[in-house]
Amino acid sequence: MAITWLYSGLGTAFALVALYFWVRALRLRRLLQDLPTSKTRGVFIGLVELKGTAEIEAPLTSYLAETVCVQYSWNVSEHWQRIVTYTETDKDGNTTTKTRIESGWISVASGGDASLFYLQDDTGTILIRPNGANIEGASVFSQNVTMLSPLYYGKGPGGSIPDSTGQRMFTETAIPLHAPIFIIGRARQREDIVAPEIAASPDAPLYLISTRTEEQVANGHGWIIWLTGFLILSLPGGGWAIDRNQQGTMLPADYLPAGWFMLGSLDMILLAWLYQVFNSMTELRNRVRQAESLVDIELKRRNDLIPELVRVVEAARAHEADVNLELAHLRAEASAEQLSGITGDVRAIAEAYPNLKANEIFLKLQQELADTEQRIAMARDYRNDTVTYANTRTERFPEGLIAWLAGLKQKSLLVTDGIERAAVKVNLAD
Amino acid sequence: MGGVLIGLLAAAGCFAVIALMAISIYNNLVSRRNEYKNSFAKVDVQLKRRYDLIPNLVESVKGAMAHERQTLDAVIQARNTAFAVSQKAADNPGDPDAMKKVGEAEAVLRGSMGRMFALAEAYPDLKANQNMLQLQGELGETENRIAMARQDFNDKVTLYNTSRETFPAIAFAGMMGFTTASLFEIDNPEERQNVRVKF
Repeated sequence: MAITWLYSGLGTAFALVALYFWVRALRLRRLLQDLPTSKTRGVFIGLVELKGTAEIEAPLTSYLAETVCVQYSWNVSEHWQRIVTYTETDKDGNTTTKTRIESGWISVASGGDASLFYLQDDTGTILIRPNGANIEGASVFSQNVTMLSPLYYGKGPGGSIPDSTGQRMFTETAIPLHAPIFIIGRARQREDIVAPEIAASPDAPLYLISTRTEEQVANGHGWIIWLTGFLILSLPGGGWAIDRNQQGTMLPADYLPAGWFMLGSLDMILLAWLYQVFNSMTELRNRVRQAESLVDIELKRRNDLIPELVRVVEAARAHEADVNLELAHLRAEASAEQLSGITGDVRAIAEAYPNLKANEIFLKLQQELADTEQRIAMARDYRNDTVTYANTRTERFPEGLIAWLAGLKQKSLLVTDGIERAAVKVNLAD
Repeated sequence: MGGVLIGLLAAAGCFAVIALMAISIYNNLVSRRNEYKNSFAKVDVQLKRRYDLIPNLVESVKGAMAHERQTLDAVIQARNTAFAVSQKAADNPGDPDAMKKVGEAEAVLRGSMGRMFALAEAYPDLKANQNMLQLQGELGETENRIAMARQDFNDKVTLYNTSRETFPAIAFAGMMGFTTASLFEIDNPEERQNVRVKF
């Protein structure tokens, strides 16, 4: 019997497919680990990670569970079963008729809805456009019912599929209102107001809205890495063993060459690992630079904005002093003179003249000062977080060796000078 | 002979695959480069907006302040004139000329007061102050727009740089003449220092 390579070939082909998913999971897990969580107020244009709760002004009501939510998706599957009769001819030429039972589920109806919503954290809210996102909702409804249940035709379609067993499975997932969510996506500028929003983008490696925690999502990718890694190692060698086995019974020692296939698989994994770790580290290095530049952007904003606001306040103060002086004149003279009729009117002007509110302009300046410093603090935080992740990568073994190739270097964190650490004494006396 | 042919075909196939990959990398880098150039232009658009908008807003605030003060000045002046004229009339009662002047002065005073009332009514809360608050708000918003445009520029530059520095593009990008793009950076280190507010 000729040597066949059918199963070896198939095994290798499936191993290559597994390799693709292995690399992808490795990439996404590293991205999750290297991306700091931003605060909603500190979101900048680019790829960001956010944690908070799902909020909306006019919430949706889900179809099956009738949960108050921002997004839901439901599905109805119907069960079928049939007996298949088939004939089989054995090697002696005898024909026998056999039967087997086949069964399965078919989706008969599905639907859902998602609306624009807000993610809220302790610093504020940000608009989320869920269109195009990979949404991982929480399971809010799961029931297996028979035709006797009012649910069966109440919320499922009429009629039935061929060979139906009269069983339906109703499932629904949703992002409930106020539910904690985890988002990775790209922020862009809103068109209506000067603020960022999270929306689908072709440049995003992923756009995920999940009710799971970051750790659970990362662990999920970890499982994919282990599972596909196992498949990559075992499939080519296993296929080869099946090919050989079909040529007749063999001694255990005859299977030893399968080890060469495993070694080949190991090489593939190693190469893929080098490829992805190098790329991830290059990406991380560039994100560190981006974060450093973000701090510069915020410092530049402060440098350009605050002096101008101070000038406005100064002008307002001078103007208020002028006008108050003139009003004081008017009041004093109005009460001193006895001009018939008109005296009352002049006094009325002085009294009715609205209070000057340079105060509000001062308040606005204070607000903007605090806001500006918060923006800078958030940019610095983000920069330090990114640098910390990058430093950890360069110190780990063996990936630290690749960090050198990718040009990822150790950087120090931004810390204050000693004097800035001390509590600030407020001194209002001049 | 057959072996050589197969070898040649295989080499041609490999070359075709590499050439196709290089073309797709080239096209991808070209669009990324144009994207960051466009984002740079968008920062310029915002800077131009600031340059055009803020001086005009400042002028209008100045105008509002001057208008307010002039209106008030007019009342005071008219009142002073009316007072002086009526003093004269009181010294010289029966002088029809003096009485006529009192009437005229009072008319001017009433007119200026009318304008004052109109000003106060048009802006019940405040006049010039309202303008100044708006100017402050617009200053803040303008800087936010600029900051956001710069973030967008940085984002596009980072996408471009990462594309050209990762596999497989790293093998071709240098040859194709794609150089590293720079992110936003403050030129003058003094601009990084804190701004001291001092009145």
